[in-house]
Amino acid sequence: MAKLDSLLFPVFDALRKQGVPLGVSDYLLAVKTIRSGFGLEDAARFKELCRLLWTKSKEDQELFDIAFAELIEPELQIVSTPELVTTTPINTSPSETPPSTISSESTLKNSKFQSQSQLESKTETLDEQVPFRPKSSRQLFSFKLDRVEQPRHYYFTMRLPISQREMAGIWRHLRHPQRTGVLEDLDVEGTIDSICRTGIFIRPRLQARRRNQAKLVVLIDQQGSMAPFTPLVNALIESIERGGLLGKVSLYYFHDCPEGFLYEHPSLTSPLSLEVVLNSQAKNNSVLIISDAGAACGYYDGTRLADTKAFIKTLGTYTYLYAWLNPMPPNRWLATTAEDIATIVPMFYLDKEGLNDAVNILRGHPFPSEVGIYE
Amino acid sequence: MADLAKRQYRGDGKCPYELLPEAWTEPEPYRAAKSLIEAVNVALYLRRPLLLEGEPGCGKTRLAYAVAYELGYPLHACYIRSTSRAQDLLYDYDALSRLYDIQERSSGSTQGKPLPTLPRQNYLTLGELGKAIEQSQNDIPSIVLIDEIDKADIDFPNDLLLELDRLQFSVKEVPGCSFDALWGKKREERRHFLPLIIITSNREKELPKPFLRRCLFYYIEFPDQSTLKEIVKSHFQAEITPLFETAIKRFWELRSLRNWRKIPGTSEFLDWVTILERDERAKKISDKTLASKLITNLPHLETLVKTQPDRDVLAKLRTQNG
Repeated sequence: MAKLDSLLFPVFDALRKQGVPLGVSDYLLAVKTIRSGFGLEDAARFKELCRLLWTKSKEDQELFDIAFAELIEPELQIVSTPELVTTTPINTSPSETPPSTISSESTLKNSKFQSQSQLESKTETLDEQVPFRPKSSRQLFSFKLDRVEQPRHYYFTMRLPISQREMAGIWRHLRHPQRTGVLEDLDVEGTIDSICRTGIFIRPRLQARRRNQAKLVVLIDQQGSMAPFTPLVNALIESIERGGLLGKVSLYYFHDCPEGFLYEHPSLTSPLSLEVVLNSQAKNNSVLIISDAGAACGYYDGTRLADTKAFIKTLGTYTYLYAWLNPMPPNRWLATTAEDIATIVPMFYLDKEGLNDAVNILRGHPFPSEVGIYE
Repeated sequence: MADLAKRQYRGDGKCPYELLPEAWTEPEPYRAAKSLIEAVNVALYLRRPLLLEGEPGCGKTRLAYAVAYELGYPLHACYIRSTSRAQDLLYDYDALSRLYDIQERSSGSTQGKPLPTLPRQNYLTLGELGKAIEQSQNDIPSIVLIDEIDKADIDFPNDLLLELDRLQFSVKEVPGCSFDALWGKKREERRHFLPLIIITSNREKELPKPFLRRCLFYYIEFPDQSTLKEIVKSHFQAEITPLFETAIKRFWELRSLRNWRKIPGTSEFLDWVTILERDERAKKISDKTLASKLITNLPHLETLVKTQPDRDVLAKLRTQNG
């Protein structure tokens, strides 16, 4: 059991740290399932089983594959080919523990693990799975002489300050359920009320189901200083669209500050008059602005501030549900235009807490103190 | 049924077990990858919901039918609509009919005495998940398919959490009417009688974390060429003819032709092969003509290419190639 633990826990821990929704029960479940005899036929099956129990989306599966390759596969490999043990110090497994300790400990550990589980991993199957494993001991020897040519593996996966799943979860709070659509549910109270009024039962009263009617207008700063944040902003937009607002989302783009025109396309083409957009979309709806507000440029721009102020004033005549998300961290707002803009609009850093606060403002929570156009 | 604990999904399209009452008896030609078979068996052992994702048309929904058939289990299929609520899966109480009945019976009697009202149970209809829980209360396990869960409102999966966990519910309109598949025992003790829930999703919406935590997740990959051959074999119950062989090759070419907006999946492929086979019988096409055609001029592309942008690109390629 303890051996199994030491093998599984690092992977589980790595997944949890990257935001895969896993709890203690999921860990115990894996241990229980393995003990009842699943996934012990060979290394591939073992991997499949853990993957099935511990990943919840295709992205999670990628994270899992990386963690498994780093943390478990080197150990499984030693089990199957004991002759490798002596040469492990030069094995380029990306594992962080010093290789020499792995080799001595894990042979012990794994020989037990093997007998416990009848793990019959064959060298051929492992050969396919572990790309960095040298082909033969002769080659190993030459590697020893020439370390430079050891293969290195880099994994490029995007790490955002807030995961898309978390963002989608937060967007779920933005809701405004109203009864609309076909009348299909019996309105019990209404029917009783009508019977009481007339003394006889004429016909039942029906009502529509509740649907989320929250509408969101997103204004996105594009190009220039916002270019590096494109993946983050795209992830945010995707989370809004899939977060369950049921399609009532409109996106518009601008550069630096919305003045006069907004654009329908991220490439800042097909312009629409700002007034027309606000008139048709913004009235009493939530408006979210995504921009660095000059924080990425790192200087103070009086014109930009004045323009933004004018825009916020106009926006304020349509709705009071507006918030600003800034992909730059707050310590970088200091001494830039962003610092001043943050006093007239509720501005938040685009991380978990910030997004949560921004959504609260969009739902109608009051602005933080000392923030507002007339403060 | 003594063998309930031993029943396993083997993916060979045969049902070696004794059929349970109301079992699903329509054979389902289905080729499952080894890892998928293993996943089904783990889900079956743990009786955890199995969440399936994958390209549209790669056989997410059909798996439930195949599993139900092979295990000799009854199948309860819930197809989710955008207005579906969690309660719809459990039961529906027709308060309206009851209201009408009471009115009718109190006014319609001739002796001036109102007729006795019908019991409330008469107005209760169980939903598919409700039926499955009722069956499992009577020691009959089943397969429940919840298809395209991402179509429903975001509250839907969250509202189902308790029912998925405890497999029990009570009908609030009928006092004292409740169903409990676990009999108040531990999950492990009742394991073999519980329904196996298979959920499919196209990922139009991100599912909530607590819901994901309760599911096992499996991503169905698009089959490779040899599996595709197996699929054709089992679907048409026939040996691979040269036409099938060519069709698979051409289909593969088409799939890798461009970055499709809607990449043709297995179900589209089977439609296409069905039509090709019909044409071959009518002597309109042979494997040689199919092989010699340009990829953009394949017959019956309407079964494979479904969006305007994709069609436009094909048309463009066609003019380029003369």
